[in-house]
Amino acid sequence: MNPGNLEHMPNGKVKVSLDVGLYSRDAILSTAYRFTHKCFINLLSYGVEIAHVEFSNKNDDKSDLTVLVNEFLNELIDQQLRFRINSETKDIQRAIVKEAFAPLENIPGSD
Amino acid sequence: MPFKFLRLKNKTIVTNMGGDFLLLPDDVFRRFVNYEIQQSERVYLDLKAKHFIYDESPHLPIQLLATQYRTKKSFLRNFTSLHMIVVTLRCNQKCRYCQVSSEHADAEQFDMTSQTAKKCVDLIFKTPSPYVKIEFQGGEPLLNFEVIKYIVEYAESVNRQYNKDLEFVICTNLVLITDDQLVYCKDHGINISTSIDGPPDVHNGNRLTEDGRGSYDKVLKGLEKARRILDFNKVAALMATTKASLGRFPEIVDHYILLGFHRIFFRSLNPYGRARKHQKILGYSTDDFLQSCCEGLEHIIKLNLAGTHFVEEYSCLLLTRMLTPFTTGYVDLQSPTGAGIGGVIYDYDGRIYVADEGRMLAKEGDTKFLMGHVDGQFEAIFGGATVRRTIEVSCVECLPQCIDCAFQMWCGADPVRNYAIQGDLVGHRPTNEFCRKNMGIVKYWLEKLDNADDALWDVIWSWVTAVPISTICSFGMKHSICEA
Repeated sequence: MNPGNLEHMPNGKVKVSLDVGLYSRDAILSTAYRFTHKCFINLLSYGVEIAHVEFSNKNDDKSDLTVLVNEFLNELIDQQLRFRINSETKDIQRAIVKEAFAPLENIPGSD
Repeated sequence: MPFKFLRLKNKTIVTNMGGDFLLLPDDVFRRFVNYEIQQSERVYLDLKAKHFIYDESPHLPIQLLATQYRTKKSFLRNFTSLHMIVVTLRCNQKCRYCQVSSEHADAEQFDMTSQTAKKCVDLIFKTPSPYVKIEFQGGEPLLNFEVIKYIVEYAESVNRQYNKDLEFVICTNLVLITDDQLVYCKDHGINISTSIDGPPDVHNGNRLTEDGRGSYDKVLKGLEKARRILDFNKVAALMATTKASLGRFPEIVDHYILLGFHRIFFRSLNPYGRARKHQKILGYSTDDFLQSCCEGLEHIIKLNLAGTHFVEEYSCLLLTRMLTPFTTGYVDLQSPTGAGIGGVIYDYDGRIYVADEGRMLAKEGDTKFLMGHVDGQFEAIFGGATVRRTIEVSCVECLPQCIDCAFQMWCGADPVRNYAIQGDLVGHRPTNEFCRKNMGIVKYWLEKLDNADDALWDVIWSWVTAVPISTICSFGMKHSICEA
């Protein structure tokens, strides 16, 4: 299956394959967290090239998961963007926090 | 520079560690994250001014953002300043949504003793905070007025040594208040906080006296007495929203104005005690609450624009956080949570809890939020495992989904509520109604700010600065948040 393709399984589940060159494991998990109340999500594998994620309905719900999975993919783009921004700016973020709490460094018991 | 973002209806909001924000059209946001904004563009200047980008060196923006961040967190410096004391569990009312346990008005075994009260005060003055607010709660605290007097006078005498900024508030239903009690309050500078849920039918549907009748008329008599003897502004009122209030927020606001109030707090029901028991009669969805809230806010804004200075407290608090770097002392929406380190509650029997909700859970058999007892040492109680455990899981900078949230610098965590409703201190954010409510109100205001004209900005700044609109000069008070 090509990355990004949705595969509709006979049992109603949907499997999607993701290019790990585009999406980090943490981005996939952060996105999954935001959807765990809507469906069951199973990160089946996170390989060298492809990650497989499986979606299934909760309880007796037989709804088509296509729309939900596409929403997941949209959100995944934003989650990956957040990871990129965090990665690019984390040193400055640490510097800001360090600078912010620098006045506490000389207070007894603050370490 | 570091920033967070959230897609809204037609724009994307970007926010930074100082709590500053910009609303960017989606195509501008796309170019921003791809480093395609040109120096010649107006938005470049806005991004630079708000410390989302820098030209040559990040050194100055780092210092400026650090100062804003430190200011935002300055509430931590003082530690516990709000001390709520339950002087009795006895109550003369049976409010349908009461989140606290209450006992019959004659059950004096549920009164705090003066010995316990003394220990409470001794502990309170161990706080490093230069500001202390002692709030008397119940039941109905007036039923144990002798202990209130004891606490006030003992605290005043102890304070001669500590010289703290000391404030007292009595949270009372006002039904039983006497002239003598009010004169005492006047002599000692005690403020009054009461509950008025709206017009008589709304109020009486929720707040019943022990004989099952509505308390509105009696509350109003008490209010009139209190205002006659105390300064008018020494009496504040809060409302609690029940199903009966939905769709009637403008009417409730008008009623508050009729009663002479200039502020209201659109308070949703807390899911504890009788409120949880009467959920089917009183309860409503977060979406329904937000809809009523927005209707109420629209009405309040119209009133302000027509010249009536009237403030919705929760919105004012959020707007202060959104538009200024300053902290607001609201313990229920802080990161880390104010439970334990911002405010605590001393039960009538001397037990101490991180929050009133924690005390309520203890009444149901769950003592997870019990900090200790007034017989213990301050360090062991306020630095003990209960407080530490509660605080450790309440920094939104570290919580799932909150960690990425664009509203992070304006928000806070409520681990007690998470535990009570969702079963653990961290909670599950996608289904968290506390999160949903806060995001709903912030989004309402972002939409308002995005389209605000000078007149609305004047209203907003009159709330944030607490200066009525008639005395504000609109020149220079506009806040650039949007990019065309």
